[in-house]
Parts: sequence; C-alpha cells; structure tokens
Amino acid sequence: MIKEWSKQLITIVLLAGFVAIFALLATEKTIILGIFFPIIFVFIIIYTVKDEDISLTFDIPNRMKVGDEALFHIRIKSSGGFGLFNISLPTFSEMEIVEGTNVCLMFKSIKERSKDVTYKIKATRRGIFELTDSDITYIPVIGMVRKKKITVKTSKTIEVVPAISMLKKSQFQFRSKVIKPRIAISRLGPPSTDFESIRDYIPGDPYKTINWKATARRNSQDKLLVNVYEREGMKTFIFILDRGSNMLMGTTSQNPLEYSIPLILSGAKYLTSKGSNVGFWETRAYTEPKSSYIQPSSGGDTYNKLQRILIRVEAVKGRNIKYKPDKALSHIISETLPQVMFITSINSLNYAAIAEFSSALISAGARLTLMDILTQGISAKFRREDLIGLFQRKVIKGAKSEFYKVFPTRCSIIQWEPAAESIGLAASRLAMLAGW
Amino acid sequence: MLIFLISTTFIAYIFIILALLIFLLGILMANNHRSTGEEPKNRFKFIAILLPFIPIIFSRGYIGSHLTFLYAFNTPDTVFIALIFPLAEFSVVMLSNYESASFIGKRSSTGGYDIQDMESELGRFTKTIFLIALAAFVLGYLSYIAVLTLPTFNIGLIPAIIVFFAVYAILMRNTIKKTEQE
Repeated sequence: MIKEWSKQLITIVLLAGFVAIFALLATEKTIILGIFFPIIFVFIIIYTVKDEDISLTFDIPNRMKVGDEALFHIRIKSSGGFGLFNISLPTFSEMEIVEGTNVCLMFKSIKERSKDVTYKIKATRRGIFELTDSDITYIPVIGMVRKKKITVKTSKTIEVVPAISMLKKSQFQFRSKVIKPRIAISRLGPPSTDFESIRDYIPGDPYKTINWKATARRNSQDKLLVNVYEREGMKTFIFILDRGSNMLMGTTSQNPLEYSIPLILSGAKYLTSKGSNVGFWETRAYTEPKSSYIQPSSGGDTYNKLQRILIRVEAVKGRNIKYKPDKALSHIISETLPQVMFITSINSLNYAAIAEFSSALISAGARLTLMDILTQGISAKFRREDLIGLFQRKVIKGAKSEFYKVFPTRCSIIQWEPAAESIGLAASRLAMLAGW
Repeated sequence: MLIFLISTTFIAYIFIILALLIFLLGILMANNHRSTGEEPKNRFKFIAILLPFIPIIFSRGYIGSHLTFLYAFNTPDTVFIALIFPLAEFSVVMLSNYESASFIGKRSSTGGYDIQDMESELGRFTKTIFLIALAAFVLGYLSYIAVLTLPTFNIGLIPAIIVFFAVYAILMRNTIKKTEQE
C-alpha cells in the first residue's frame, strides 16, 4: 500500500510537470488544463492530512473459567490522520478466538471516526495472563511518508480459573474393596483455641503460634517456642501435586498437570464443604528454595488459597525434581496422620524416585493414595482418535505393573486416563481409597 | 507519419474515444471493486494520458511547425483534445486507487480479517479518494474557465508555465517538509 501510493502520488505530481513541458512544446495554453487536476488533487490530500491520533477503550472481563467464552469489546476512536489503520487487538496466550476476529482495518477520512469491534474468546488453560498490547500500523493516504507503527498498551491481566466439577456424595461408589476402619483414619483436625502445651518450633508451624514471651524467658537457647492447641477431630486430607516434566506430556492445555488441577480443586471443594481439613503441597525443583503449600484447614478460605496457588502452578522442565518431603510436610504428616493423595504420572524415568518418595511419606505416618495419570490416551488423541481404545487402562496397567512392584505395599495406586475418563470417575476412585 | 498527412480532426476523435474508454474502465473498475488481489496491474493506464498528446505534439507547436514546414503536413485542429486531459488523469487516479485497494485486500485476505468488514473499509477508502479526485476534477475545470474568462488570469503561456513551476515548487517543498516531520 505504502509503496503503491508513494508511486502514485509521485507519478501524479510528475504528471503535472510532464504536461507543463508538453504545453511548452505545443505552445498551446489549453493544455494547462491538464496541470490543474494533479496539482489540486495532491494539494487537497497534503493539506487535509493531520497527524494520526487513535485511542482504544477496552471492555474486557478480568476473570473467566477454563472453557468459558467471553466477549471482548473494544471501541476504536480516531480524530487525526487520513489513511488506513491496520489494527491488531489484544488477546492472550492459551486462548482461541471462537467468534469474530481481533484484527481489522479502519479507514479514517477527514472526519472523526469510531468503530466497535467485538470478538469472543475461549480460554483453553488456567493461569494469569497478561493481555497483549494492541499493535496498530498507520498507513497514510499521502503515501509519501513511511507507515508508522503504534503500540497501545493494554496493561490488563486476565485470570483464568480452572473449571471444577461439583462432586456429590451420591456419585461416588462407596463399596470399596479396601477394608477401612470405622473411626476416622486421621486422628487430628484443625487447631482450636484451647491451649494444650508449649514445644519447640518446627518448620511448618504457623508464625502466629510462636510464644514470644516463653522464647524470651529461655534465652539460653536460640530456639523458638510455640503454643500447641488442642485439635478438633476432623479428618485431614493432603493433596500433593507432582511438578515434574512427566506432567507435561501432551499439549499445554491437555496434559497430566492440567487434568490434575480441576481434580484437586473439585476434591478440595467437596472435602472442605464436608468440614474436613484439606492441605496442599507441591514437589519442587532442586533450584527452588521452597515450594508453595497450604497447611491443612477447612472452610472456603482454604479453597480460595488453593485456587490461587493452582492458577499459577507450572511444571518444571528437566529431571531436577526433588522427590523428598520437606520438613513442614513431614511435621504435618507426623502430627495429623492424614490421608495423602499424590497426583503424578509414573514413567520409566521417575518411578524409582516416586517410589522412594512414597516410602518416605508412609514412614512419616501418611496413608498414601497415589494417582497415576496415564498419558498414552492424551498422545493418541492428537494423532488418531481411534487409537484411544488401544490405550485402555487394562493394557497400560499390565505394562506398568513392573513399575508398581517397587512401590511400598501400603501405597494404594489408582490410574486415571483423562482422555477417556471423566474427573467424576477419577474422583470416585480417589474417594473410595482415600475415604472421602 | 502518413496518418498525419490525411488527418484532420478525425484522428483526434479516435484518440479521444480511446482515452474516454480507458477513463470509463478506470471508473468502472474502481467502483466495482472486489479485493481478491487477483486482478492484474493495469500497466497501460498511462496510455489514457499519453494518447491525447500524440496528435497535439505532431500538429501544434515547435514539432508541428517543423513538420508542416519541412514536409507540408496538414495541421489539424487538435487543440480541443486537451479538454479531456483531466478525464484521463482522473482515470489514472481511480485505477491506481483500485489497484491499492486490491493490493491491501490481497495482503489482508490471509491474515484472519473479517472479509466483509475489510471490504467495507476498503470501499470507504476508494470512495473518499474518488470524492477528492472528483473535487479536484471540478476545481480544475473551474480554474481553467477562470483563466479564460477573467482578464487578470488571461496571461500568456510562458508566464503561465512560470507560475505553475512556482506553485509546483511550493507544493513539493511542503510535501517534503511534511514527510520529514512525519
């Protein structure tokens, strides 16, 4: 366009000169009629062009759920310039445009112009995403000037929360083959306000329980002392999420990690609604100083904290995951004897380390249920749909039995093929073994 | 050269018809704009401008006088052809406009644009250029009538050309200045 119009305007201006030379050669005044048109045309274009001025007003939601469709409404207003604006409007990674388009042309003539653009976006993955800036290319009609790139900052983020399934007790099959004790497996619930004793601080203890007076009195040692309160007798459940590269098999929006998140959130929602204590830990890389965790407690606040962590959680690439319970986790396990549900994806590279980790959790006092997310179905989904059938759990289970042999016998292992089985089914398997 | 021996205004009429045909083609193509991008570039659009010059240049002025004097050529009255210059120039502008719109359409057709919206914007663009060209066209004729009728403007050819080059220089200077500012 720019080259086209440059050439054309220059040609028109040169044309006037060309006609003038002919008028001179032909000594004919009538020919000057041919000079007026190009001169007036170029004159009008040059003197009507003002500096470009464009503004965008965004009407974009701040929050949406995975799989939800949201309308992005943008008003483009231009009061200066004379030419075409080629506009690319904001989007974010991990989305797809399901209706309309985020790119458009807008021709601004001499008059002020505004234009409304609406497009529908579907979030494909959870996370907090920065919206891209709007890139605008201004192509002036005058053409002789170079096209100009304008960037309009969006400065907005969009929070995509995982879509969870509302689990109901009725949908779980509670005829478990595993014999469960009649009383609660976890003997301890959340701390009450009733004082019990004072003991040394252990990593993982809430800071608010530190007894500063008692610590100051015992100034001979540099250890902190904490108050211990009596606990209510509700069950404690701890979800542990594997962040290894094994959780990245598949696409960015369909992989074991992405399937784990709604499962954990759905389970946590269900358990907190029943008044149980829910905690959360994630495995961490050797390079990370600490991992995110939530001390077991109940109520909506726990769920909200968990959701905030799980929106941001990302897997660590490479083989540098530390499969070892940290001090805080060991302490909580030994104190509450919880039901621990470790969500991972076992393969030939990590099974030995995960088995060791499982043994450590059991040794600390956890009742461990390990959920092995199968990835073969996810891979097949992106190759040939009809191959999913080949990767049924029975086939994979046979292949994986060798890996499972190295796990401690007290570790219950269940499998989930997310490409073929719903979250509800996975939750019911967990519920059966973990005693939800 | 032989055609100019037998030519009178008849030859000039042929050139006018050809120029008008190209002019009409330009207008029609610009108004029935379809930005498929497949349209070939009209490299002959400048013929519309060149055509009227040919009979004039061989019949009038220094070349015409030379030919008449040397070879006893007829000097047909071809001056009225000059009246269609603005038409020919108008057709060039509209064809160029059409080509630009087509070029943008082609480039944008694969970029995920809404085709209907893009067509509408390019239609606005074509229409605006058409209106500006039309205004320049009308003003051009009015200026010429003013030169013929008003005694103040009825100056000789050489002073007229000098005035033109002065205006031309000012215009080019402003254009360059504007470009530098941008």
